[in-house]
Amino acid sequence: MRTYVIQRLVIFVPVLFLVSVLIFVPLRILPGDPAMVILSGGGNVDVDPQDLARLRRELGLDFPLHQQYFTWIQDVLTLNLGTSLVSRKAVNGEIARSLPVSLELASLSTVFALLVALPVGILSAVRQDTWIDYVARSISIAGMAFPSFWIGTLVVVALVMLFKWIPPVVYATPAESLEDNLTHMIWPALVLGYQASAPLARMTRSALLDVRREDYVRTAWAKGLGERLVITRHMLKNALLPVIALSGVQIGRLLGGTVIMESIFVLPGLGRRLIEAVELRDFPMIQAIVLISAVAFMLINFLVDLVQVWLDPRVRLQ
Amino acid sequence: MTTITRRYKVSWLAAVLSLTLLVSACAPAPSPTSTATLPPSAGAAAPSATPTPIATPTRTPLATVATPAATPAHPPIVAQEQPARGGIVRFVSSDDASTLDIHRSTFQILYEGFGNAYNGILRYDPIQVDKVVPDLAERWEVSPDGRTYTFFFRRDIKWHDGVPFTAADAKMSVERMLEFAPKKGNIATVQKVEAPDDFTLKVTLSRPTPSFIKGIALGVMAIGPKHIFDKKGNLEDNLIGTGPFTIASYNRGESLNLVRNRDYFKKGLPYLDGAQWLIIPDFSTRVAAFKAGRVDVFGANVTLLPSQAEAIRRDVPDAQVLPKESLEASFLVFNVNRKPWDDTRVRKAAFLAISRQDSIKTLDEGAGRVGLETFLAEFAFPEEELLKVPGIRLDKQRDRQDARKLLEEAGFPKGFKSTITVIGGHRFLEPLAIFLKDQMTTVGIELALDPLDVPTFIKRRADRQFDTMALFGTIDFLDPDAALKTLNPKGQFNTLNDEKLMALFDQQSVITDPVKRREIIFELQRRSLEVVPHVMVNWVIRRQMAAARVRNFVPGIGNFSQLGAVEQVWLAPR
Repeated sequence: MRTYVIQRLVIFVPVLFLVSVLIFVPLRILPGDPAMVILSGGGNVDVDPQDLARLRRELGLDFPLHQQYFTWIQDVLTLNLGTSLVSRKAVNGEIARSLPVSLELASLSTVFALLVALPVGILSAVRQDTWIDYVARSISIAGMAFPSFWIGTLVVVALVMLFKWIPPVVYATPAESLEDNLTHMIWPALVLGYQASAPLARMTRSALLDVRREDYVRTAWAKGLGERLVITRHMLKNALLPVIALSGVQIGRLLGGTVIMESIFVLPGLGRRLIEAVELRDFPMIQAIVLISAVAFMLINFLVDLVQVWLDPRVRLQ
Repeated sequence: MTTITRRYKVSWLAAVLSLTLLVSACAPAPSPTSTATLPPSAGAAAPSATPTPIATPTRTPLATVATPAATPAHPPIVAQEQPARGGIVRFVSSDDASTLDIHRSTFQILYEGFGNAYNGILRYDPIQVDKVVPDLAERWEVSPDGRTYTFFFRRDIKWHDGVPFTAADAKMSVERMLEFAPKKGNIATVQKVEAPDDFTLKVTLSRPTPSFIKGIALGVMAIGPKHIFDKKGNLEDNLIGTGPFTIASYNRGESLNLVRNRDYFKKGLPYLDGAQWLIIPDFSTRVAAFKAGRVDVFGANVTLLPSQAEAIRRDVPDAQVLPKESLEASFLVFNVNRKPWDDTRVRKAAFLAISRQDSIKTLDEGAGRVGLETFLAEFAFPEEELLKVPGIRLDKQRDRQDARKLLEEAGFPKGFKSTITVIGGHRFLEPLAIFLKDQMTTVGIELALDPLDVPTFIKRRADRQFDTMALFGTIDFLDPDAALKTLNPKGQFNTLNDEKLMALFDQQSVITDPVKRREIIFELQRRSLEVVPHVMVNWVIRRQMAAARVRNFVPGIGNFSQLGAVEQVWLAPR
């Protein structure tokens, strides 16, 4: 186990290096000059070439690319994510408020996803080819088919039409006000959770159907055990392994995929920050957010793999 | 196998998940991106003087050419009753500020929102929005040669941290603006700035500039604190102003919170306890927030079409729908450095092909007016003259026949292909580009849409890497000098360096006699018809909305005239 952990951690290094290059280079190649965007107020104003040259110097954009890259990497290694070109503030500070928002949203969404996916998947598998199965599968497919921005907008419009109410538009952390925080978060979490539950429910169903055919399950039935006991004690634990693996992927996707929900529900998360940074070509902010997302994705999947190793003795013995 | 049971492992897994949730939820209470720990303002100000505001020439009412009537606007409630005190008005904005340096950015929230913490030397009246009135200066004098302006400041003004305001603050600010401000072109003729004493500012111009007062009164000409600038070398994080509100907190990308300045030098103002700007990027959410009563006013950068405003009003029947004279016009911009747009005949053909009336009807839902260049009031061609101009007249069939003849003369009997570059997904610009594309097909010009994101668009525009562009041009104030923005051959709206056109512009800029000035401007517009530097399609009139309880909110003229809009706003009791 220790060797496995070390091997996995060592692989992080070249992967992160590759990610850093893949973030840095395309950004510089993409058309669009951050100094020009800032000076033009998003396109409102003509830009004086002298002002442009001065701002590019101030922002360090006139240094050679390799120098900019090495400066950035040096800073990252000391956990300094740089200075935003737009706000001129440390990126660390700007992200410090946004990261917990996205983490909370991703976590809540995952919880909802699992709360929906597991019962639906189990029901679907146990009542295979009945109307319950068909309804459950239709709901799952709808979750995968409908785009999240559509569902999110529909939720907001429906709330205001039916109740003349929408969730708060000013974010409060749980420490500031747990009630406001949950009132704000629950809606985007439900939308994202529903979307994330769809593939999880289908995976749960497939895995249970596979496990159902195993000898030990037949033995359990033959011994006269009740349905609930067979499902929970024998089938579910084995069927959950691929579901756990998929959950890891889903959490990673959720971390990066909350952009639309954050815009619709006015959450100051990483996704929204990323979109704003891309629109303004705020290179340090974009690099930081993408790097953090990559690290988070790798860590989550690593943890999920560890959990699997720990849960399944067969994997451990391998 | 160890003695660890499966039940224990699942319990442990549940505990890990719960811990993850707990950790993510227990984020440290954030400090606002910029904190305002403001010491209480010191002292009571002396009773204020009541200087007489200068009136700008009355605008000639701007007629709408025959189109279906625009959805009516509902005038703002500029109340006659006694203002009530208290309450907080919540504005919604789509964008955030980049820097907080009041002299270095043009993001609108900086002036509309943060601007409520500042004053200018002069300002545009928040109610009579095209009238320049005193602000920090209580009066001013102009030398006989029109080159020297002397401003006399009030003596009862303090910064929010209690430091007295002096003319040195204004001197520093004007000098910074001349160096850094994106809108410095509006005061480009300033040659020297002096502060002979603490309450006097002397500004010397390189030449007489009749528009100078209107330029210096713009919201982008806010005065910042010299003592802060001297200490920090910049105003990046500055939250100290002299204005009716102080900045209580600012969370980047989320909200700006202002509270009443109890020591404001204009006694009795402001009426509100505070104001809030909420940054909501999604249009549907903004509308929903207004309907649900979570915001009270649509900010100046989230204007609406008449139908959008009326749709909201169906759910909020007592909401105010306020016309906004945004001084904004839609344009088709040519790159004359590329063939065939270097040929005047081709540009004239494009000018003739576009139906202004159709543009006003379809794109602006009747809320627009025709024009030739960005001149207004007495400096614009009267409506009856405009309707005789080929291209603007109602006989579109004849216009398009003439256009095809011109194209044939230019060597394009069957038309040609080109591109129209536009900001992709922009809720006003992309429909404009599609409309223009459609209009060009009537004369055989096939324009392929080239949608780009904002930074790429800006770069292409600056590098002149486009054939044609669809743009909105906004002039900053009601003076012909403001039209330089759309006529400047180095600017975004014009790539044709016609010396005669610019000579006429420079000529009118120094003339104080309005009659003579008008003649030259008319000649300029005739020259524009000859050389066709671009096509101004039509002026647009947008809508802002405010909740019924909001009183004295009047949308500012243009996008950068008002330095804060909240000084005289109040909330009627429920």
